[in-house]
Amino acid sequence: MAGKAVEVKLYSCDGEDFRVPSTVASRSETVKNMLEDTGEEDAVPLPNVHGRTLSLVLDFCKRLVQYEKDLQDITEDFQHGQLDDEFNAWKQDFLDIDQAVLYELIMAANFLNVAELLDLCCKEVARLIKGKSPEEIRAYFHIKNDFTPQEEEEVRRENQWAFE
Amino acid sequence: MVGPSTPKVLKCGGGNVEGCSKTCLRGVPPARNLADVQYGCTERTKHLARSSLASLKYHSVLDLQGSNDDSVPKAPQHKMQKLADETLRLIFRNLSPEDAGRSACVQKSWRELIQEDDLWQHHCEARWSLTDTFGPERGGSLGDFRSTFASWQQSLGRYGPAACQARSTFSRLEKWTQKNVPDVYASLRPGATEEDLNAAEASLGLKLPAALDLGAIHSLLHGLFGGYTFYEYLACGRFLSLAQSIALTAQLQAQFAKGLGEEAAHEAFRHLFLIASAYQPAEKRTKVFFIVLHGGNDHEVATMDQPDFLREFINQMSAMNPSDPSPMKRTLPLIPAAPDSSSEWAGQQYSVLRWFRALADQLEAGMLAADQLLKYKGLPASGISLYPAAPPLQSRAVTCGLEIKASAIFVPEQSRCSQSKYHFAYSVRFRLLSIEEQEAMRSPASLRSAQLLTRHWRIHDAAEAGFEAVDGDGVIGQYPLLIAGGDEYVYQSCTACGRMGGWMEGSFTFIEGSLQQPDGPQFDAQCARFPLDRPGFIF
Repeated sequence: MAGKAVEVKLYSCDGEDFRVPSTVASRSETVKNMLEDTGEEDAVPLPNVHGRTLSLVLDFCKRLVQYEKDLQDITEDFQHGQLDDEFNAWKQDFLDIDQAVLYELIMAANFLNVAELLDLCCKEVARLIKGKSPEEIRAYFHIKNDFTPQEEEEVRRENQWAFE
Repeated sequence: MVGPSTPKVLKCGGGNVEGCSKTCLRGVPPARNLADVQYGCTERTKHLARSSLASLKYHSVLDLQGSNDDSVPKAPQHKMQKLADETLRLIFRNLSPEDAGRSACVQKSWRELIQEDDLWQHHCEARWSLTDTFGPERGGSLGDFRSTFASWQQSLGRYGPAACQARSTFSRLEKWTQKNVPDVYASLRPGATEEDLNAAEASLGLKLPAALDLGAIHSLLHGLFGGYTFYEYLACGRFLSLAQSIALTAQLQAQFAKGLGEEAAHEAFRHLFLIASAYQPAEKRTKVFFIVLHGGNDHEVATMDQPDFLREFINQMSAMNPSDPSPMKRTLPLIPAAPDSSSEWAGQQYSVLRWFRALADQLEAGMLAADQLLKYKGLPASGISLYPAAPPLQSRAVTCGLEIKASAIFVPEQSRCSQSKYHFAYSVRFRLLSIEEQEAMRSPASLRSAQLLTRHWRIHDAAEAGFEAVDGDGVIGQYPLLIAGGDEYVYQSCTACGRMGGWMEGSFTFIEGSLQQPDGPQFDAQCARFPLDRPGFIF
């Protein structure tokens, strides 16, 4: 790690303390704004984010910063695809988490405003929905069916083409 | 350096974030107080974050919401509902239309979000290349994109990606013609309906391939395929309307019936369907395009190479067993118009679609361009010229500031492939560059005007040995006078070859100034080599 990088201190709702380069922390728009308001010396409290989740968010930001730096360093076109492949493989591993953690991550990405992470997580949820029937989706995500029988018939009819 | 860390469920703390401390800060104020230190955090997000944290099965070290009901660990059922609408929209945006349609049936709040028309506007554009809310059948707007999407999907979804390709191809053709040849755009017609197609099949006693249904989704076009002229000859191709197709196919069938007998003619026409034709001034159909049905969905688009194809055709037909389609493939003078590209889709199933798409590709790439076609009986003066309008099929050379561009096109309807007679029309464009352009090219002297004296062609067959030299005065009886920066002079002529794959090149002798008032010496302006070959696609 570059010696000169400015480190900032974040702490999570459960009091866990994270020291990360400000370039990494600033991938969160929310943190970036806070740092601009209060300066980089002050510890930034993140009352909405649990340490476990924050750790994952920062992992992601760190890898993202690395990816973008690598992109700037490449000299040949084919390396671009290679970096993309590596990053994508990393994301796959990263998303090897259970549903509860994925939701925490979405919440955190939303609150911390890390667009790339939010996008990644939303795509992952979409992937989990893919190819499932409404019943399977409800069962998988523990969602209650709140339609009346009439409503359900109507919505099924409207979307009949999606079942063919 | 970032290691390929693999965060698993509940990997606690900052252990895999370099430089993070796992130690809890001493003297950190209780989280509840922290929550009051709000940095742009709204009440809503505060609530969301709190409740989501509370529903974590594994409890935090600090009891964040000791007094909150949510603190009891819960089954995850309400999590999805706790996602903000904005987040759910992002998720739904990433679903395929089918997944979105099914997700709308999951619960009320999902349905409401998925019904938002922005989402369907996106899907209409992405899948069906639609920017308005018109349905696939004739009639008015359907009002919103969600119904529009459903309507297209119900009507054409069963054809799969090929239907989307067809829509996208027509949409590209529409856009191009609207911008470049408004006359042609104005002549585009709405597509045939499914009932029309069923009726056509019934009346002709043949089964059209599924791909033709796709071809008819939208415009059966008038004048779309463009044309070429040379001397007094004009070939301007049009996609026939379904009604015209039926009428002309029936007409051919009747002519065959005279030669072959009713039953044989009927049998033969189970395999042919006329879809496009070109006209010339005598109102004769000179160039026709058929769909040749080889059974099942296997079919191809083809044209024929003989001017008197009908008589030939009848001769051929009487020599074969009409119930067996394979000799038709062998004996008819058919020239495939949309060659198979085996990499894509299955076999020849979509040759009509490939044909249209190749036209869209060539127009968008500038290989073909709008140009003046011969004016004749209300035909639009401008249309799509089929003479190649860009390299490598069009050559360009500049000599002493005189630019010559030339390209040729295969004319199947005047060729006799079986006798190795290949007819080509070519188009040559002269332009004297403006003085500024000439200076920019560092021409030795600036030419203000030049007039053509003689032409010198070398026409090569594909064979290595020999060429035919053609020398003569002027071109098509004219001696064009070119003015620097003035109009382009364009002429067309034709030639015949004994082989495909030849080329032409040559030079034109010009005089500086004009014939009457020469201003300087004569000079030869080069015309660079251009190919005489069968194009991949014939329109």
